[in-house]
Amino acid sequence: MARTRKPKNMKLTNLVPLSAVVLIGCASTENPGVRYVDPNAVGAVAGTGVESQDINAAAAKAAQSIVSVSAIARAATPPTVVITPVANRSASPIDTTLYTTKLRGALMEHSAGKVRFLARDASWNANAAEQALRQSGQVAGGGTATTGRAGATYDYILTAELSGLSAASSAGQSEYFLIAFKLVDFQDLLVWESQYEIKKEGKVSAVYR
Amino acid sequence: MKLLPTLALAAALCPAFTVSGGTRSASGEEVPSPVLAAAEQRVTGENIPAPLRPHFVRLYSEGPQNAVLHNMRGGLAAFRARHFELAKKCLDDAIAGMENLIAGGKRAEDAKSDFVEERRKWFKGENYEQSALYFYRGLLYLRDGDFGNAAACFKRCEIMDITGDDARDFAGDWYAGELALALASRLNGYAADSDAALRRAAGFSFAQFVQVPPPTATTNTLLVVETGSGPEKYGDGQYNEKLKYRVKRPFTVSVNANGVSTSAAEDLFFQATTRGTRQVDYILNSKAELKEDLGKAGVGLAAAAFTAAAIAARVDGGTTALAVGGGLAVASVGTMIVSSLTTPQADTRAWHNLPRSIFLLHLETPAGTDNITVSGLTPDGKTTYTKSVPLHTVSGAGTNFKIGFAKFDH
Repeated sequence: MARTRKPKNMKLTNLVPLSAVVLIGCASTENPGVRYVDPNAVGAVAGTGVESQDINAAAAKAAQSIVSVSAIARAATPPTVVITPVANRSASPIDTTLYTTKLRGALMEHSAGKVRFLARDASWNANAAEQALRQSGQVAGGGTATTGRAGATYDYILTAELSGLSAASSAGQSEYFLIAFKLVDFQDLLVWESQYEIKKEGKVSAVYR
Repeated sequence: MKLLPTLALAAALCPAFTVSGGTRSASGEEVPSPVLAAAEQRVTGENIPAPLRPHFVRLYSEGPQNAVLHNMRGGLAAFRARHFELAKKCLDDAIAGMENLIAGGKRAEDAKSDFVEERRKWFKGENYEQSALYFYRGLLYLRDGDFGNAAACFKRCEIMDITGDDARDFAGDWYAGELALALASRLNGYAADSDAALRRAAGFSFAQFVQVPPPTATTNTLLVVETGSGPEKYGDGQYNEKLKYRVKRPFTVSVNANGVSTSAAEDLFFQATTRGTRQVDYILNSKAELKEDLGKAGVGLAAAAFTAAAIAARVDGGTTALAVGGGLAVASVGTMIVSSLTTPQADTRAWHNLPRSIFLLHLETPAGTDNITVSGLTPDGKTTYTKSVPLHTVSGAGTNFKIGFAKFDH
């Protein structure tokens, strides 16, 4: 018969190392780390605001729609479009520069050469400065130094406006966003409009309510 | 012996069991020396201005559970010290942390436990602090001429002003938020939105007690004056389970500049104390009741143990009574230990450098004005402070908007 050892009564002093182990465990925080995530996936930071995947989806939808507009699809030469900064009329602050850049990137990707985009924000100052250098002879002449530089103009303005309805109470919060894209010609005629809707609901733990 | 497992369980459940003389975080946890040293090194490496460093050392050393708190404090300190880029980063980080519905979820659940203090949860601020966070971020967007995002922040300031069912009339009633929204909307070209904001503001109960000239179509300058110290949180009730606020009486009750006088557009003590009952108040009350019940039960068991011991002493051969008395004594000690480990204390971490009042002076100043003199006044008209405030002209097409900030200590 195997002998079973009778457990000794635990002394209070024996608890000290045990407690230390337990308490070290309590004091530790989440392990740091970095990983790649899909920008179209719901990220770890999930709130009820507009997130990267929302912008990606809205821009892709707008881009696919805009190239089917007859004024663009049937144009003899690809029309030039200038994209204005995203206007925010919602109740959520957003990085309008980032959203505008993302929108332009998605449109470039999906329009397959059927539309050209004006990017004065990216090039105007640099091109004007370079032209001045050419004309002054400080850099090699030729090119537009002799013929003059005429920046391109546009056929259409593409606007994007974010608006929304927000509600919050002790029961939770709800956000509705509408991203409205408009293509307007030089005579202020609305050529095309597309809308993208997002609705999110969230609830925090009772200890925050 | 059942007492020892109880103690071990208590130690596991209660991090406050730690004994240490080291630095403690705002949530009561020990900050290890190497972590503190690394935070100090990081602050030096990032060239954080010296007066702001204490905020950032705490931000970098006290873990994500206190990040929103220290970003709020550091952001406001940077704002007042005119380190606006740093202020924007802090406030943006605080907003991201506060709006995150997922992060800190485990600690939030733990905080419901009878044996875990509420302050162990990730700090996200009370509603007046959340509204203030958006309000200050909105001011910085105004300063950048980003009127769309400024308006978004002022709208958010109202949305975050959530109240309990017993204080519904005070939900979304930030008077300064609506006035700032009116200004931002007008500057952004949406006059109808501006008018709507002013109509909402006029309907607030706070509006009955103040006289604040609103922004108009000719307003081209905003002067923001903060006065006094914001609400101080403290725990009230038998076990400090009730969150209460106290505040010092303000000296400055009106400010004037360029012949325009105004009373405070916002009172943060009013906002803090019109929140109504929170869900967490029910949790804390429940913890307090448990603590009290266990305490009473422990006393009762102790009394029964003494009675049994007395019987044992009188009755010849009273070994049974002695055994019962011993058992009751152990049960009494165990019950009282569990009672002592029950933690109903309210979380009193606070955005402590908020002001008591915010004044908004909507002015029309001539082109080229780059500073303005502002004075504070007591109720009987005595001057409390006079300051020359630099004005920042907002760059951008079609705007000639100027903004300045001042802080009066009382």
